[in-house]
Amino acid sequence: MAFVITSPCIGEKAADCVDVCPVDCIAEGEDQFFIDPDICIDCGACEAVCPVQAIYYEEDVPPEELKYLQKAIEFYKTYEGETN
Amino acid sequence: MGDAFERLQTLMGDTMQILDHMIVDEKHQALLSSIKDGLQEQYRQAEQVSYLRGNERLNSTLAITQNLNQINQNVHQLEQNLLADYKVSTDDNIEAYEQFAYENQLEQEEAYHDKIDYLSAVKIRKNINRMNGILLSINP
Repeated sequence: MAFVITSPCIGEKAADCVDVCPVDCIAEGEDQFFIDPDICIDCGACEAVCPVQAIYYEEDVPPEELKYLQKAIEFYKTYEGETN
Repeated sequence: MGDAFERLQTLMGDTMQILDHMIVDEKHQALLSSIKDGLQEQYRQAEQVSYLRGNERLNSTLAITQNLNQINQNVHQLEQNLLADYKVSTDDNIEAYEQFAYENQLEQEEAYHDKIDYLSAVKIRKNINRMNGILLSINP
């Protein structure tokens, strides 16, 4: 389980989540940020600071936003380099 | 099969990233170092195994599984130690501490630090279990 960044991040990319993540597990994609589910320790800091409420715990992602879970998995299949 | 080894090494690398972010008290340092060293060695072994075939591959993957189980015993021990620290720094009331807003949790620096280290150990243990699942899929 991990946290997931969803659609409100698109076009916003405030990056507050990146600054507070204690394990540097958030990387910048072309249109949004992504949380690496292999590294996320479920601390919830990112969710607390997101100014557009784009971040949900995996189990709580609204049905219409579930595609962003798969989008993150796909992003990290091709992402190279340390997440930070 | 190549995908499985690639996935295994990615997961090992990601787990090492979590380990690299942990800053534990001196009393836990030896345990943390042994986990780091052990996992790094298994990463190297996994790279070599991907080039092996037949019984050589079977024996080497079994050895990695055994070594990961050994490492996970140390992770479990570290997790228990860090949980004990976290309980102390929250006056034995983790649940109440975690009900605080993020900013208020941060104000209690020691408790927040202990929380992050404890959650890191939990994640590392889960990731090692997933590594063993991948190895099982290679050698059912």
